[in-house]
Amino acid sequence: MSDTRQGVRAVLSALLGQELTPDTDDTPLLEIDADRYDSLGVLDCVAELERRFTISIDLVEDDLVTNFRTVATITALLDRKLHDARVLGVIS
Amino acid sequence: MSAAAAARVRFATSGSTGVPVEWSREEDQLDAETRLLAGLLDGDDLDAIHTHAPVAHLYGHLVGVRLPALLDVPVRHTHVTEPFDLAGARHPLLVTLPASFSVLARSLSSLERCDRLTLVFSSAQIPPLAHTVVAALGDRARLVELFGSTETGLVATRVFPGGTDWTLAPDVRFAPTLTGTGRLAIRGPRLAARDGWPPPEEITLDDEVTVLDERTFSWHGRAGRLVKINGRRLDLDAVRAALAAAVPDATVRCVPEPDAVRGEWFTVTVDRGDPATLRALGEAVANLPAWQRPRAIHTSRNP
Repeated sequence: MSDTRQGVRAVLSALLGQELTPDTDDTPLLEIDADRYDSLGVLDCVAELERRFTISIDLVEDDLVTNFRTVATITALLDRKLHDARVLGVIS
Repeated sequence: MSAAAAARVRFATSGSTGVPVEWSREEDQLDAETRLLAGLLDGDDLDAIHTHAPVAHLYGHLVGVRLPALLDVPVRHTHVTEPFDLAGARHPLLVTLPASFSVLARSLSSLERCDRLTLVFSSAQIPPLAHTVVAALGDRARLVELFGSTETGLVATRVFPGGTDWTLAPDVRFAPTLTGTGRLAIRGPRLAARDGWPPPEEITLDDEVTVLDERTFSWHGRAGRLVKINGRRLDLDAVRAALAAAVPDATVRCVPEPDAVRGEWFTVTVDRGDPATLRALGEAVANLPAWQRPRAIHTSRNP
């Protein structure tokens, strides 16, 4: 289990007010709580992930609809960004 | 339906307790306001309008429907989580909501090719990020804030970079009874009417202000316990009462907070942390309309 995935799950659990478990990692977050994970909730999620992982989400390049659909898709995006940042020496 | 009634356009407000209230405006009033906005928002130089504001509300309707028609410029409506696509625009008007600045801050590259940018924001606590975004754009950007409501239309404006005080719109004046500090009361030709009634002579808003001179005022906050969540008014006392009824043995508070995405939001604190209390409170929160729910519920010994 990657640290990234656990971190994403923790952020989403706090945001949605319910404990997310690994078996919902591929469940669309809209199906888990459509009221809280509305368009503004997605932006809350973006800001909290940027703060927690010290990364930047670029909304021109990082499409929210596809990348912020599930815990698994968010984790994949963050893993790519964290890998790129390490390669570029932005983070160790 | 009479011709006069047919010429009226209706807009609903959430009301201070969340109960919708409908206000109607005459075509002449909407035309006058659109022309005012054209003057305030660099209308003679704009070549496109890009908007995040829903057109069902007065602000979105004026700047997203009537203003592009008046100026004969193209308009593009974009979902609030999506960056503006400004390809080909030399001097666009960006119509923003509180959440727009979270998006703009993460899509600045899409604004690089514009020579000038005019941003407009209305009727909510502006997020601090807004000033960061405009400052990052440098001299080519200006942000015009509109102060108003569905019932009054545009009341006043201020520009960033610029001062913090508000200047009345050219056709608005303070009510004669307002001097010094008090609830903002105004008169003007664009006040909306409730159905079956003529437009009122003056309207008193929920805002506490100090009159600085004949045309300017400083804003101190809203009277009572009103917050504006993504531009919608919510009475926290009404929310607190609804939640407190579900947990009569506990003390519940609704604490307003600034919010980067919604402008303002609130947190609920409760002085009991036992499972039964938290379960009942959680159920009461779930029964609220989604937009009226708090950011979080916290237990506190001294709520």
